Amino acid sequence: MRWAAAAVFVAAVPLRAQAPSPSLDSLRARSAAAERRVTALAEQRERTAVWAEAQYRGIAEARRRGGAALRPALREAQTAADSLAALDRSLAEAVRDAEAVRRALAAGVQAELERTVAAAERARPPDRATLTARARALSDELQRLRRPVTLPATDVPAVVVRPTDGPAEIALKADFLTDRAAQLRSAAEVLAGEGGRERRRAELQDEVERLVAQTRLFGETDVPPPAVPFGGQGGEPRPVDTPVPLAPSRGGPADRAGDPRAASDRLDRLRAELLRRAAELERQSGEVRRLLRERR
Amino acid sequence: MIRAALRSAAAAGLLLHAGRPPLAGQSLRADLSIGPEWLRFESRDVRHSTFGGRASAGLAWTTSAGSAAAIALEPRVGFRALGGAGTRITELVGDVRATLSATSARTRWWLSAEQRVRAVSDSVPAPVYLDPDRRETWGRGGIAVPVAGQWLLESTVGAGLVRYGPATWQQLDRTELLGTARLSHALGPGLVRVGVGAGNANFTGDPFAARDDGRWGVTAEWALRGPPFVQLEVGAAWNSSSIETFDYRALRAAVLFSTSLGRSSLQLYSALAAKSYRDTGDTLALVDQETGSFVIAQATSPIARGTTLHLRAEWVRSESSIRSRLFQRLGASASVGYRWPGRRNLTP
Repeated sequence: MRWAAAAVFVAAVPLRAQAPSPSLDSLRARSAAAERRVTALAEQRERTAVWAEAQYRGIAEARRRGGAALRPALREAQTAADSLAALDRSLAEAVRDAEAVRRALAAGVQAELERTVAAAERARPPDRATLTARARALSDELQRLRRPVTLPATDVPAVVVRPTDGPAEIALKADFLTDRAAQLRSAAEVLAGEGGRERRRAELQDEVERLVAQTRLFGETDVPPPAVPFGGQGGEPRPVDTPVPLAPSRGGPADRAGDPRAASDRLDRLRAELLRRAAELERQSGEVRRLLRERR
Repeated sequence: MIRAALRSAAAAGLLLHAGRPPLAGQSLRADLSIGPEWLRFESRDVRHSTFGGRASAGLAWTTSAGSAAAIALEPRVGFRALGGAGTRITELVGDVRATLSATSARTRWWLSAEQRVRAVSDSVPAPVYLDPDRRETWGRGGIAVPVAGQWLLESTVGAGLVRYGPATWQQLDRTELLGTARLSHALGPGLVRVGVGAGNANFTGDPFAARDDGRWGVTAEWALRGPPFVQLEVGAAWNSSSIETFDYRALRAAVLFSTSLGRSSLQLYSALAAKSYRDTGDTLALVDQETGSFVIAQATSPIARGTTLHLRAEWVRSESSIRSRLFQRLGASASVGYRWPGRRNLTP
């Protein structure tokens, strides 16, 4: 009886190995969807990076124009940097998801491969060839799955040197990259100045807040009741114990958007991002120039 | 609330001591100031000089409560000791405020609770004047919503209990209610704000002289973020009391200014007030000290990262405990202030 059961099992194995496992198919579909999402986000990031760089380059131009042009330019650049940062987070999350699904799929494929190899060893010659071919396909799939999820190079939109480009075209491309880097460095200089201004603003606000808090604490600034109903949101009725509101739509306790401390931190982060991108463009420009020297 | 403040101060102290940053989603700021002080009081041609020192420390701890809300706890304590010509005065003050605030796409609202206490040593000889022992408990709420155009409407309501320590002052024990409405709009590089307010003070401390005051005020303000940092305010107020002695009209102008001067900075905080009682007779009546003009000028210079030297001069002219009896105070002080986390020094 036990022998009979074993024979049925052995006969069944090649059939199970040949039929695609439903869970494996489902994992393959999930993995493909996760990788499509990674690709879509990477492409979106590339488009956003091009737009962001245009906004960054606009900062220096806005400073040259003077007047009220700088503030909207900074706001646009900040929005662009925020969008890029949000896309970076989404992309990192999508890559993590894709890798998790890929690992699960690799484990499933590995198990399927082991079963197929075992079945092939026991199978009769006509079936063995089919099973061996299937094992080879599974092995190839496993090798691909063991590689990490890769992203297209999207950090800075690449300027590609084509084999048909002559020295003049290559030199132009190198100059173009250098100019873009210089524009970003110039924008970073503007941001450094603005950051310093925000830090001074924060210092002055700190000193004012501390002075008001101390005088209020010791009750040294009692004034008549025009101030009684106008003490601000949190304080005892005093004339000017609310720090200067920072913008008409801002100023609440939970709203730090107009806080000069937060503003200078944001400008510092944006400046670091610009300098990083400028360095990347300079690196690319250096590579193009090296290529130019080699072709000459 | 005081216990909660002490607990949070202890926790913050441990964090500071360990030099560790606060937890994610939280922010913590602390400051400490200590230094000598000279004060000269003057009233009815009697002058008295004192010399001593004062210290104060504060914490501001904020934590996020969900994606758009925050809770802030801000305890602050201060101590002052004055002496001279047989005078020995100590003053201990404390203030703790807890605020819950939230912002949505169009609306911002907040709720806050505050407890303030002060304790002054028993004998404060004239003409020295310091506010007496007092406890105050306040609850406030507000909402800000954008209205037509670029205008922002801020409305607040609040209620408070004020209780005095000395028996003679307890006739000023009171409950207060107040409400305000302000409209703000950008004006040039700054912000203009106009507002109206109304309040009521019900004095509960004297069973033989029930007193109920209604108060109204209007104010206009202009503020500039700068640098320089400027805030100007003018206002007028009316007080109508069930006891005619306390009816008055008042006008006030105030300024708050801060500007950098090389690596240093200058601050000016001043209010000039004029108050007139409708009953012009020389009535002896106990009043809360609420009429004051003052000018405080301060120079601030960094001496190390997060550490600054403050030199301060002040002039105060204010109503003392007796109606229309004014005292004047001149003061000078130097103090060393420490802030955590420290910020970079001012750069010209």
